[in-house]
Amino acid sequence: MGSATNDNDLPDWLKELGPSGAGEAPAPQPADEGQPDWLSAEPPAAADSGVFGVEPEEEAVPDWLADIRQAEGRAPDEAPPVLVPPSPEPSEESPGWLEPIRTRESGSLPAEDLEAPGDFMDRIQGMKGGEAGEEDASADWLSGLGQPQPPAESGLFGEESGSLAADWLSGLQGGPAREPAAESLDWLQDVGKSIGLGAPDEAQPGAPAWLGDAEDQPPAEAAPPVPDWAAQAAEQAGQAVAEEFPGLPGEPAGTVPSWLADIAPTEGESESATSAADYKEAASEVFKIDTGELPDWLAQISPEDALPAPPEEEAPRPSPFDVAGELAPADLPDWLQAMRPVATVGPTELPEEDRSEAERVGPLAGLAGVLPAEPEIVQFGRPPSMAAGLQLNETQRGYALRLGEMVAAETAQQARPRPPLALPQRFVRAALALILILAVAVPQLLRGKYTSLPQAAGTRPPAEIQAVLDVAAGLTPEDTVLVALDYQPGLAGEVETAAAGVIDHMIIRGARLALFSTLPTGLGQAEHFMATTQRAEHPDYLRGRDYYNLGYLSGGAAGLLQLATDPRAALPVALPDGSSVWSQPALAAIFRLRDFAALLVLTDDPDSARAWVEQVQPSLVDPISGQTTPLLVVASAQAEPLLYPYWQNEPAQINGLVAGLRGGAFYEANIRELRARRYWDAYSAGLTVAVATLLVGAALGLSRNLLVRRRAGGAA
Amino acid sequence: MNLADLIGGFFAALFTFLVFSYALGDNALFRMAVHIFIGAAAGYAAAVALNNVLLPAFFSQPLTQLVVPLLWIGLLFTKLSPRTAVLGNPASALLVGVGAAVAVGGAIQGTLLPQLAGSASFFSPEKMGQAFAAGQTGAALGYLINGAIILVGTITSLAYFHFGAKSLPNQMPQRNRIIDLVARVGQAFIAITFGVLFAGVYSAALAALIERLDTLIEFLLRLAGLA
Repeated sequence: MGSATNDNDLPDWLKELGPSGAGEAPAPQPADEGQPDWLSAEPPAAADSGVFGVEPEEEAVPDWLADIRQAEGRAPDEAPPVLVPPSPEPSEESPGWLEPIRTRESGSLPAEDLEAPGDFMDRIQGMKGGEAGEEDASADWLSGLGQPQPPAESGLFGEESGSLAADWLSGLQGGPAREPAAESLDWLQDVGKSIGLGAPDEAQPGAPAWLGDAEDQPPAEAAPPVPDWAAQAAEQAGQAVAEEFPGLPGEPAGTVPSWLADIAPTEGESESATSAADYKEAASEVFKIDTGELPDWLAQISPEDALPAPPEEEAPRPSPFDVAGELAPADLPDWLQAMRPVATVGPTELPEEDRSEAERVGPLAGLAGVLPAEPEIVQFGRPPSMAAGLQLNETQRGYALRLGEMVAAETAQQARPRPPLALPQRFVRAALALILILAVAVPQLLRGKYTSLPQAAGTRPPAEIQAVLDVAAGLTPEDTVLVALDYQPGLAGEVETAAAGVIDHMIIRGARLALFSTLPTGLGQAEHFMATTQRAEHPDYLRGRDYYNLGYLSGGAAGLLQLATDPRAALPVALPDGSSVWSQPALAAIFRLRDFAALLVLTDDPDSARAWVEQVQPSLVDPISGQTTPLLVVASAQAEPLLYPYWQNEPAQINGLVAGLRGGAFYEANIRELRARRYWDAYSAGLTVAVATLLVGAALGLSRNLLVRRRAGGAA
Repeated sequence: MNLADLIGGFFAALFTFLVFSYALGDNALFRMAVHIFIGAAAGYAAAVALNNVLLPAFFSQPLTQLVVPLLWIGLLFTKLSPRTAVLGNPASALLVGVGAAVAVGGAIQGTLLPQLAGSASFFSPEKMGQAFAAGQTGAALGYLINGAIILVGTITSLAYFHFGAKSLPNQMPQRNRIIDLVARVGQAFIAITFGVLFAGVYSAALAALIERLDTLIEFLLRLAGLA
């Protein structure tokens, strides 16, 4: 664009930057049509102050600026001699706004690029006098201001010389001497058209408000123009859309859509980012200003205050797609930062490295510290395997092993060991049986009296037997003796033999007997006993007259207790004529157990005898007189050891005891010889055989063990 | 010898031989004789209970007094079926409870307390003083010896059944040495007791054998006309 079109290229707001302010009517600026929205909406700040006011024409020079020019002795339209180093030819790929930076870094800028943007800046430049050589760098920097500057370098108040602002303004005007700036304005015009900017006439008249807010605006908000590559991409996208959707109204060719215009500054920022050191260096050169020459409001602003905080040097962030494959930590937005569950992990404060650990997967990938509780509650790696079995120590394991061995030994089928004896066990057993039977049978066959009874003549029997003898000897024909036959048929031969002499003695004494049993078989045993032991000796001793069979007493120990309490209720026996047995003369006077002359228990079981002692014996003691009805026991030999304590106790709980065939033999020795004497020889022979068998067996076993040990010793 | 005695004697001799056959080992004849004995005993017991207990009780009491006993009997009969067995639990509980109470009470009052008193009486100073006053020094020493034997035998026998042991780490539990020593003494007392019991059992069995052989011989002699 030529200089003649400068007025047309400027937007309205630039035209209004003139010294006349809002009162002057701006000239039409054709180039303003290409301005983007951001450029028109957010123009550089401090425009109100007129620092960067553009004076495209002489009549637009404000009064205060004209005064300055007059004070310097120059014409108001005379441009200050600004020396700007030549700018290198811009690259086609790089945007135009990067060119001033490059030229500044290279230290040369073409002279044709130096253009006096306005008298105001020329005056400022002229104040510097002969410092033109020193201002080359500043001019270079100022030349870049005309281009879209990166936010960090947009020094709005860095006008040490007037050429700095003039260059920036010249860039906006797009004069013909600045070809790169004109190129950059092309796309601006396109962007402005695309976003619907009106004609310059439609622009808001007067000085814009953003100019007054320029001091407070951060430099980053100065929106740079869209670069060339973005414009090309937009054109290509537009062509593709037009081909795909020919019916769409589309946008004018060469315009940049609004979305791309929004992206452009960001892209420009990223591409124009410089280090903090370069920024400080450039700032130190730019802000060399003589405060005495500046207005008061400008002099009060120091470069440090005007400049934004320089960006701190940060370590280069790793790319999300770098070689290591780790995502770069992302910056949390404010809303996400507010949602961050801070300090909810637990009482312990997480280390800094844990909190800054970035998420690698999921929707929060790349965000650091979003889930601070995770390192506390999540166990990375494989969880420890929990043993399902019991924790056993050595002792318990030994127990378990031994128990397992025992169970296995119980369940395993063991081979029957061969009999250690040379002779078969069955043969030995048969031989012993034969010997014992012969030893017993022979005396029975011979019917002789080869052995004497255990009690020698002139001696007394054992005390327990003597006690029975004494009780039986004290019976009278008026006395009735209660006899309990509590023995099994299997041991009837022993018990009946032992009791035969006692019953015979009582019958001799004329006593009457009342027989009963606590066993169901006792009823028959009673009749069998009387028939086999007494009938031959006492044929006139009849049932129902001399003795009574009261039958079976049920209930076990409870039945015995009932018998002790009420014998008539316990044994309600009726005779064949319907009358009660208790009405018989022998039992008519019996109402309690103490009314019997004696109780005789025939038993083969120590438990049965003990039940009699425990349940019945206490009721035999008269609580008034203290007299005790004697409790006599005729027991099997196998029950004798367990009944003897009751006999030996003081007071005795058993008043007499005859045990086994031996006891019967003692008793008969004092009365008369009956069955015990008949069996005594066989009994003696059987005991002898038993003792001999035990001795022989013990000798054989001992010799065998000695032989085995000797063999074991020899083998060892 | 009448026919009944002959038949009875024959079967008695037959079953006696069948039982004696066990001396040659377990055999079918022995098992058959045992089964017959068990069956006959059970049948005889049932007949005795019915004829000697139940029927006299039913016929000797008025019907109003039989309601409760019949109710208990009915509940016990429900035990025949598993489905109705639960109904018989109260009757069973009554029987078991009464039996246990009677047995325990009798054991305490009839055996435990009197035996404790009897064992302690051997060390009674009054008894010892009377013996010394009567000049029966031997009797007094006899009391002491008997009491000491009973006391030692009781304590050591109880100690033998004390199975407590102290467990040490990595070692098998072992008895306390003092308890082990006392238990060995008790083991001797228990061995003597078992020996006495075995002698009594053998004596009883020998007497039963003699009675059986005498019966057989008597029957054979009678059968032969020699007796």
